[in-house]
Amino acid sequence: MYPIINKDYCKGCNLCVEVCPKRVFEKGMEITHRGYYAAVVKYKEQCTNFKIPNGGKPLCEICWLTCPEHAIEFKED
Amino acid sequence: MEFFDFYRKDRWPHQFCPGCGLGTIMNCLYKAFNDLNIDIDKTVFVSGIGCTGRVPGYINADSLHTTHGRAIAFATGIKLSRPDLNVIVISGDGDLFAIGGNHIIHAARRNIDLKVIAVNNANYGLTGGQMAPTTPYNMITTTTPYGQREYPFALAELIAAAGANYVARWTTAHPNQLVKSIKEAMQTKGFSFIEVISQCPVNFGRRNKMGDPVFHLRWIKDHSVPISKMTFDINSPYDIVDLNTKGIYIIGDLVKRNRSPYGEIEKEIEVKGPQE
Ligand SMILES: Cc1ncc(C[n+]2csc(CCOP(=O)(O)OP(=O)(O)O)c2C)c(N)n1
Ligand code: SF4
Ligand code: SF4
Ligand SMILES: [Mg+2]
Repeated sequence: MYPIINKDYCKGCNLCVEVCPKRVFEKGMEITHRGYYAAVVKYKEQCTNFKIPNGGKPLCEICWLTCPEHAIEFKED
Repeated sequence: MEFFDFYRKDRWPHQFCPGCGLGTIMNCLYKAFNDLNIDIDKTVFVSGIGCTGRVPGYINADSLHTTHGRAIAFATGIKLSRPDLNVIVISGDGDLFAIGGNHIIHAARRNIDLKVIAVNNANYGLTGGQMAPTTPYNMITTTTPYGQREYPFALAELIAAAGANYVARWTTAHPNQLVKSIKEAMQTKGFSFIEVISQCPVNFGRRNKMGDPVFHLRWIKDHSVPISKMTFDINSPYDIVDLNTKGIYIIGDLVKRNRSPYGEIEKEIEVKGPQE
């Protein structure tokens, strides 16, 4: 599983870009329907949890813990 | 317990500004509760007024949003009449230490079994960024346009000196440690206090060249020093006697004591009878 950003909640603070040790996220360039530049998941395969199956216990969840909007979820599409 | 069993999904997204540290603290609170499997129906959340004071309004449990500065007074009443409930106070630095300052130091001295999370964003966020007793020296706020000329309170040290059983300070840049600390507080009997240094990019950061939440978070990280590096030497750069006057935040567990909480002593007297 890897992080997915929920565009309904993201307020584009870019804290996930700052805290992720694996540089999975990147600043967004597109404006969402709520008027924020939502961050994007650029390199999902770099995420520490990439090989963990859906619903497993994540090894690192610093982006999930830091995101003030609860916009990040660990999933596979 | 899912995230939205703990928080009210119908009230999401919350009203805090983009990048505000309160959201991070809310995640940590949920994680600590989920890990310990605490029954939120047996928990009461109490807050005063302020941005932080709005956090209990998002939690799916009984909560009290009390008058400014009186969160501890209400919480004391709840704990003494219903000792079976967990009582958690989440409030701001202005609420707990400016207008409510005397309540909290005496609650700590009496060692009432409350868990207090004080969110220190170094200003009065809700009312537009006025200076607080926690604003670091020289920082600019709406009411200190030439820079703060007073020195701030060191909240955690103050409560440690007042006699609380558990005292810690963490920041929003240390969420994993904060989760651990909340768990420790929940398992400690007696007054437990956690000061969380949090970013307020919109009202505090913006006036101090940290309007971007990322810069504010970096500033917090750069100004935190682990307690293991502190000394009692007056000439050392990290001097514990100097408390907060150098603008640094000492992070870590400051105090762990095992004094019996207020209320337990009364129970003992009831069993044993008065002393001769
Ligand atoms: C008796 C009273 N005095 C003043 C106010 C105005 N007031 C509302 S919130 C607040 C300060 C909040 O600061 P803090 O507790 O640090 O919370 P923050 O918004 O920073 O989280 C003040 C002075 C009030 N509501 N009631
Ligand atoms: S931390 Fe959350 S709200 Fe902020 S940019 Fe990342 S996903 Fe969006
Ligand atoms: S004013 Fe400051 S403390 Fe209040 S919600 Fe905005 S960033 Fe957070
Ligand atoms: Mg404040």
